[in-house]
Amino acid sequence: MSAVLTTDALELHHDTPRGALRAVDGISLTIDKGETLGLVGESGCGKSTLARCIVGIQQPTGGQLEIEGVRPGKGRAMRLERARNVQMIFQDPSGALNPRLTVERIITEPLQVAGIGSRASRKEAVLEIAKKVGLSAYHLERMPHELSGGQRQRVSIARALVLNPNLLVCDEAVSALDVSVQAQVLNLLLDLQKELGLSYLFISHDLAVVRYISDRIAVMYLGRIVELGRAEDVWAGRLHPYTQALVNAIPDEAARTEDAPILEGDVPSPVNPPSGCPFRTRCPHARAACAETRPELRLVGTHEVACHFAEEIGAQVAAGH
Amino acid sequence: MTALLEIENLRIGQGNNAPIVEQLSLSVSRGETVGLVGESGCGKSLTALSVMGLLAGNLGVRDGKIRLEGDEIQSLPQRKLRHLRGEKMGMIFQEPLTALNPVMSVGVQITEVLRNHRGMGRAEARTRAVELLRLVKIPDPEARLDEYPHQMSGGMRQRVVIAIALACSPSLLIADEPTTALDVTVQAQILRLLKQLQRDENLGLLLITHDLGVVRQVADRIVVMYAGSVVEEGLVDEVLDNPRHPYTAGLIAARPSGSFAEGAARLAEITGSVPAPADRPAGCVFRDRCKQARPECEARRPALERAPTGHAVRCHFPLAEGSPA
Repeated sequence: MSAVLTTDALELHHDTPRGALRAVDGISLTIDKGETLGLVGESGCGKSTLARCIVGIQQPTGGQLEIEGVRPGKGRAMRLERARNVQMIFQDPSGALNPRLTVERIITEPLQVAGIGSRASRKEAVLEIAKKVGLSAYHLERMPHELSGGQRQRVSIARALVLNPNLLVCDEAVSALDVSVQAQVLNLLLDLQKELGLSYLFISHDLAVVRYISDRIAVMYLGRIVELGRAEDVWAGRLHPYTQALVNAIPDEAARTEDAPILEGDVPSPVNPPSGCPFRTRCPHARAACAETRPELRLVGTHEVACHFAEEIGAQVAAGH
Repeated sequence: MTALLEIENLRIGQGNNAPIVEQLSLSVSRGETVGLVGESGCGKSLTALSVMGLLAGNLGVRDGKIRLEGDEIQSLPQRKLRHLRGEKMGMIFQEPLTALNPVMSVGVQITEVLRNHRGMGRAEARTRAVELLRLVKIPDPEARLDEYPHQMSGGMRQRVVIAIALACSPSLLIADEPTTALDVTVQAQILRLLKQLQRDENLGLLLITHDLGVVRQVADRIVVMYAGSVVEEGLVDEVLDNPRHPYTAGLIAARPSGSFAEGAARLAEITGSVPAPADRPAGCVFRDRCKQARPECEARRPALERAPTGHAVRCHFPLAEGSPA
């Protein structure tokens, strides 16, 4: 399979009076054609910043990024090329759509900016993509405020897909939707992927949603990937204490017992993060070694983990702890 | 158990428009956690605000009764309600940052309640405030008292909001999506704290949420709302393991489980979306989204029928016990 996206040690550091804020701190990943990579982590872990670097809204300060094997450049032509390859949908569809434009104009705009087609052919293309996402000619004449939240998210998806991109970055795309509508949009994304051969970078804080939709999952903590692998390997065979904590934190029947372990404290500041392993300040397994060297992502069993004691934790899990 | 809060046939309307909440009845006993569940726009937050007497503008209780410890409170004047709020009932909100005053230290915001309601002096109130911060497990409470909300994390801020709500030891706590704005690991901390406080202080807890997992973990009973009224009610495990209303079953089936890439089924959708109050269909309000709708559903609005177990459902054709969700 060919990679739609490759990043190599991608970094985005901000200068602050208190030191460098490492929002994205050396992320290397690939997304293949037709593949969904799920990205989970809590707020402030850098997942949205990574998405913005990939789409080109923010400029990385280090590392490499390739889209369809090409490093994106800076000129207008290069930016347009990138926009035709990579598009993004956002969490809040109300905030992402211009309230003063009709749905038809919202979906047409990317074609106009890219200078694609005649007026008539654009109209046709917009109607076609609208039908694909479950909107009709009736909806095209409406204003965003006349639509429900689920319909607005369909408009965002249509606008993103009208340029025929290969990669769609979905940043908390279903988080603001009610469960019943969330199911509609997740099914739509799966159908579109099958029909159009799309790749997704699917970002969410909701582990159950990410597990459902992803082929592979990357878990992020303080700007770094701490666990990466096939969805079921990461879910069922989770080795990093942070991934384990995320799964344990999902509210359900099992969480009723008050002796179930839960993570204490909050995510530390990405300015001056802890030395060594960034997770050690909240980790139940932390030892002296964790403060000294930072664990790199390495293959342990079925997938990659960034933890010094992954083998030991894996053995404990296997022994039924 | 004696009912601490009883809502009977509540109707909430805005001006002369179609009612937003109607025929709503529920009760919360001391020491009990009731999960009130529904999608946005179903009226669950308005129900909570009506109990607190906080309906604003031209929203108001049009009919029905709200009883707190047996006394009707739906038509009390604001002066008396202000006394009940804080003293007998407290509320915590979704977004702790907007629930707190950004220009006052958290200490002032906690002691304010104690000084106003309990007439405590400055020093006494401060001592009690430290106790309260300790109760909600904020480390180093003496120092934290002088901090401002922006200096705290989201989880710490929500703990402060809980401390304020509990300052005068109310018997009823209403929590409206208390963990929705928080990260999952912090949500787990706050849910555990709420459950401990509820048990230790013997509170009646009305927990409003859209998340069935949260209800499953924390609540004893569940009340499912759709388009302004209760469609199903009962013990949490009974309702979630054996949903009898097609809407409840639909909500459960719409949650992703497993991995699609590894063969998990497509998600079960509930087609369409929640109607606005003026557009609610005649008869059963759920019928235009319901797969089992029949002509009777349009003709007549179903009543909430209660089984001897307490499991109640508002449907002409409830799903059989044990049928797959």
